[in-house]
Amino acid sequence: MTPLALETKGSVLVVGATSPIARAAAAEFARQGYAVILAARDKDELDRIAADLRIRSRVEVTLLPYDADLKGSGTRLAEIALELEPPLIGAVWVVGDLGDQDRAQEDVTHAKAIVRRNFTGVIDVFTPIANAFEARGAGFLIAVGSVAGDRGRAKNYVYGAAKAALHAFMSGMRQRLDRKGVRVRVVKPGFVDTAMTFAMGPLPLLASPDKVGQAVARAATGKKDEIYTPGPWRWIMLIIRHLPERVFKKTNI
Amino acid sequence: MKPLDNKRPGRAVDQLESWGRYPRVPARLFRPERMRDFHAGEGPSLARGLGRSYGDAALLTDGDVVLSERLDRCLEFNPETGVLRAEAGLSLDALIRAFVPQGWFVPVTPGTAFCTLGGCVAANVHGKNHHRDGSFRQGVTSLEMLTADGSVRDLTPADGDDFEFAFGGMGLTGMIREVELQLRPITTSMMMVRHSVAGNLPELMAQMDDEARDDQYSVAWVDLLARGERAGRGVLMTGHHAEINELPMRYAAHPETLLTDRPGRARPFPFEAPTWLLSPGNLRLFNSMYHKWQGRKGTFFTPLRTFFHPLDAIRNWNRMYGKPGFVQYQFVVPFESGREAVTEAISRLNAAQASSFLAVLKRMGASDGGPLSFPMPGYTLALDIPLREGVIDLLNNLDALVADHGGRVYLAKDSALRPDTFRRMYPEWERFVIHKRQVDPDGRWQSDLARRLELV
Repeated sequence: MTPLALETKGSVLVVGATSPIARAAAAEFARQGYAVILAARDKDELDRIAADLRIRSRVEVTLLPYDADLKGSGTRLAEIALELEPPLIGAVWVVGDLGDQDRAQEDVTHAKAIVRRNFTGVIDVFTPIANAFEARGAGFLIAVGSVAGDRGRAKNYVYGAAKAALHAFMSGMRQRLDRKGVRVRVVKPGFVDTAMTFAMGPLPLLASPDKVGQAVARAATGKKDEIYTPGPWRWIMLIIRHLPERVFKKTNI
Repeated sequence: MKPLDNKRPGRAVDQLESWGRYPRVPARLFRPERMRDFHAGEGPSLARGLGRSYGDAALLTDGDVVLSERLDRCLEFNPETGVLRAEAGLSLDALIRAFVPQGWFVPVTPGTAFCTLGGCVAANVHGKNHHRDGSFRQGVTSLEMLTADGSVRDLTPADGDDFEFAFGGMGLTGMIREVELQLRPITTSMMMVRHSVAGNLPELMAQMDDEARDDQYSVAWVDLLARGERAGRGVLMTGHHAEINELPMRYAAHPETLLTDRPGRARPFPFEAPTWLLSPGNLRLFNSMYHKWQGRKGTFFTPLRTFFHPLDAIRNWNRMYGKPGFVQYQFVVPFESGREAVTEAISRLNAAQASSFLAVLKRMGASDGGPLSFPMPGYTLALDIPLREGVIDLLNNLDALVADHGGRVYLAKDSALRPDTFRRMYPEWERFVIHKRQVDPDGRWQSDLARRLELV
């Protein structure tokens, strides 16, 4: 028989836990012996994912409600997560929603909802956790960003802007907290094979959510601050970021 | 979180294909990631697992095909009894990965682990232990099904036809959401295997029928290309889950390795093979070597993945048959006329030069499940036939032979059977059609197979 769950390494909070990337990340944390706290809105899905994690990795799984659209939800989530045992050692932000760019151009409310779901929500959750980690002098914060946040494109710039804000937020926290022993990481996936991209048909460098989820979990212990996944996106985005605006604006990238 | 964009994300494809890569049809694909999104589309719909059926059982021309692969969560597991409840999209591969280290194996597995629980129920799959343990139905204690009227039903054997007809029902009675099954306890992840050579078909069948030679799992590889006295020569391969005390000392010295799952890294078949690769000459050479090499092995130990799913080590092995694709033909005939029917089938295949090197013969035990469930007592032969002109005629010709002998073909592999022959093979077909009309009066669940066989 395999050993039962290894000695407990602390809890990891996964926010937006019902997405396939989050599920894979949580499974990887569980495999490494962390207790996991899953937060999302969809109770039925949370229950299914939690049952699966418990059966496959035999770790402790705690479920908490979180709804980015609900005022105060993120603050409450952080409060509760910080009180749970075993103590919180890491938090992962996997909330993301592409939305509908065409609609966002007509409907400002929709545009703002995209920004809230991809960015403003993280402020409520990560601020108190970051402060607690800072006081403790240990912990990690990981956010799943996107290559779309590296440069605004006509196709999805509201989403891209929200992701860019997320990247900047994390980068600032990194500079503030790295010296205090808190690791702050951003994982930037390219196209991931999820419901978000399924209807688009075959896409270049399409990554499985499992691969991205594993990259997220590995980011906690790895040395890199910003992780592109799959790797080649680092070089693609390097080029795209450095195209002069007068050239970029004329392309259809 | 509910996506802001509420359009149900579907993908239109021109050429949806299953494992045999024939036929290829246009369809709309959906791949829900939440259980509540696992339901029919607006028109005719069909649930599809990993697409390992060979023919058109998982195809629906211009219809809505709903993939179950993202719904693969284990929901309940009792480590005392080994009863597992999981979502229908869980693959046997994932199940084995998760549960072999805990000392449990699937009760029945087909030749690939890349199939889902839902698919295993729909085709009522069988494995090398069918002669002893029956088909997938035997391991299943309960099902959760989404019915045509949109309600979710928990079904157990007490529900009679509503439960039974799902087995071999090819997904036509409802969408299977969850499956509860009794896993098989194992003490090691190794198989104790015995190979023995047979010089011709009668000898092979005699060995297979010999109870003293038999084991929990039994299957034979047959050389369909051998002629004359050697026609039907083969290698009988039997085995069982090795107990700890059967293993050589070197295994017992490392108890922590006794229950490891080594799926290995699946290597891709690198290209779409040119058709000459499988020319009769090349195949004959391969078969002779294989016969000699496998026959020499005697008794040995092997990891269970190698024993049950050898071809899973080559991803996309179906590309070996090149662009046109292939059909896999599997039939079962009652024991009484088994030898005669199998001999005749082999000679007709040879006459048509329908070369095949993957031919598998085994004994089947009692029937179970619904009226369209394939297994019945008798000999079953399965073989690949690369697709080319005349193959469909050859299959129809073989279908007639099988039906004449009171046998039937496996619908999960079929793409050529005609409705009249189908009705001769599955005499209870009418009960199925009546049941289907009751549970699905508007014909919500369809497939190209169902349309071809006039089940809808």
